[in-house]
Amino acid sequence: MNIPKGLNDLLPGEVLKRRLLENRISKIFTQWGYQEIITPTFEFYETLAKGAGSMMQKEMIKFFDREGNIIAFRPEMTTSIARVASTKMQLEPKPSRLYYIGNVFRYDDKVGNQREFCQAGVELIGVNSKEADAEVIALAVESLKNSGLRKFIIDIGHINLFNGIMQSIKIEEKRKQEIKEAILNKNFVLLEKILYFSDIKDEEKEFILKMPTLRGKEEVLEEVEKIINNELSMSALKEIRGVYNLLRNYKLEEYILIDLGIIRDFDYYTGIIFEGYTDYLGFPVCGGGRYDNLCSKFGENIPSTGFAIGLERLIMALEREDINSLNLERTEQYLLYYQNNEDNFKKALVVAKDLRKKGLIVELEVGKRKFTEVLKYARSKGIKYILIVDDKRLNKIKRVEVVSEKEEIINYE
Amino acid sequence: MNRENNTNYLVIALSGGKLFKPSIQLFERIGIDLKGGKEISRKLTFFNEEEEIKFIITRPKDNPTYVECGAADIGIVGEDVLLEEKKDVYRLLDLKFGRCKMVVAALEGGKQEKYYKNNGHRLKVATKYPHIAGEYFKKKGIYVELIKLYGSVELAPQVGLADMIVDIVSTGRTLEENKLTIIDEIIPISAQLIVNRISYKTKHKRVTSLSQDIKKFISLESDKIAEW
Repeated sequence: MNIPKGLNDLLPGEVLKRRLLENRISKIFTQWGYQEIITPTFEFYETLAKGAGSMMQKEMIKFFDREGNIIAFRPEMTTSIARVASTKMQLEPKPSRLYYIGNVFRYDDKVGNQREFCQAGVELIGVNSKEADAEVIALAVESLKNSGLRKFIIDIGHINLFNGIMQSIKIEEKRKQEIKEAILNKNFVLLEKILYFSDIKDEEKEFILKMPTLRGKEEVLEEVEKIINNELSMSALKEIRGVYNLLRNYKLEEYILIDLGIIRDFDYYTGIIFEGYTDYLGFPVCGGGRYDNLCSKFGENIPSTGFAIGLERLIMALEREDINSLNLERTEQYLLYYQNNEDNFKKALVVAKDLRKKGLIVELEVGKRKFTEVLKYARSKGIKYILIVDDKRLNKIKRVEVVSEKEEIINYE
Repeated sequence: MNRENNTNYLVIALSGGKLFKPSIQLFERIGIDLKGGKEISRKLTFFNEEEEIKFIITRPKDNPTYVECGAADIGIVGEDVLLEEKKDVYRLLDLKFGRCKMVVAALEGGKQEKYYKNNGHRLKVATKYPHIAGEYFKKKGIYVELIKLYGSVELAPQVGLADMIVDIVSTGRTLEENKLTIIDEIIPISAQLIVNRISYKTKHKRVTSLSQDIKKFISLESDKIAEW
């Protein structure tokens, strides 16, 4: 039997890694005061579309429910959480710190055409301050660090830097739109052509072409401050500087670069935006930013910021960095084998109960197999010991170490 | 770390097929020795260890996929491939070689009007590029049926499978030999330099110096390149 395109069954080995990663990340989120929230897997399309640009609207997986409503699977979590924050949590003391771990759905995600993937992220709701921006970026760094990833960089930028430049340039709206689109599509060949035929100053042309490559430490800000003279971009630079200085106090500057060429796919961002990169992936491992107007689309306006980590992507990066980074030390597994009569069965149950109480993993032989077969099974499943309960010994059981087949009699009351 | 998975290596994906030779020439002219890669062989990867560059050879259509996923940092690919399938990559340079045109062609003796006027007959268009062809006819307001083929598209009109084809032509000889004439030109095509969106940031210095070398060379020799 097949399953629909782009979906996956996760087999136990993969689930183990995934849960380990989820635990590592949710532990950090919790320690920073974030509380978990769960929202529905699918919602009214109308609701989710409020947070999605036209590109993302096309990528949503939609269907009709029995009542004739258009329903869509959530393509990301932020819109749903903004809806909850502004319709059901308005009275909660601010800021609200919320986190989630959940699956999201899109047609043809860029990485391997997956349609279902898992995101873990946070939203810091109710504060518009550089301290809030710095906190979520710092938390993104801590989460990646704690997941086990060693080599990564978070790039921070600002949505208004580019908006300000586009506003200040005096050309017709249609041209502006073309320039924006070329930049969004990362098509510099086209961009250069459009700029060549546009009636704008040479310095401005040069800067627009150069902007996507401006990336580095503070010196980038100084470089750009000399060129830019519109208010919107200036205040964006000031915000970046403010957040960068705070992150320096967090002692995280080794993980941070200022990047004036960040382009994020979502339309709802209004301020600081950021993305996380590693050498091991050709796409970002996490991303986020400030969205101060999204909540107002559902009711009360609440300034917010947040980020999401792609868990499949993170697992890929972790395993490329170190193949064993998600192979945790497993709890020792036991298999209880008993000689077939009721007394032995009863005794085996008592032993199993005791060991489980101690936190060990114990499985009971249910197949009435010969010992040699059980040994083979235990070996291939990575079980460490087989315990044998038989008639010969009262208050004693035999313990066989699976790999070495070494036997030992242990006392048992 | 060995060179196979050394993240310091710059991975350049070359398209096999007709772009392969000019791509190689391009790198040679800007002073990058391709070592064992000059001859098309069955080997799909080769290294320049001094410059820490790894070259891979991909099928033209697959090229942007390698770059988009980061399996390659840089790719050289025909614009037709990029137009047909949208990929999230930086498009840095028009390399000006591999020039050809995306055209609409039909059996000889046809005029555009003859084909584009709807006489109660829905036009059939055979193509390897259903997306490009679809967009083109949509813009023209002509309702057509697209037939996706994988090659030798010129055959389709001759055997009655389609009225027209949408395909790339360089010299036009294949069309001629199959009694086809161009009835409209959709867009000029040439080879493009594409870069992975993360590599463009993390390997920015190397990517830019390479693309600047190439750019300098292209503007110097643009007339000659057209002859490649």
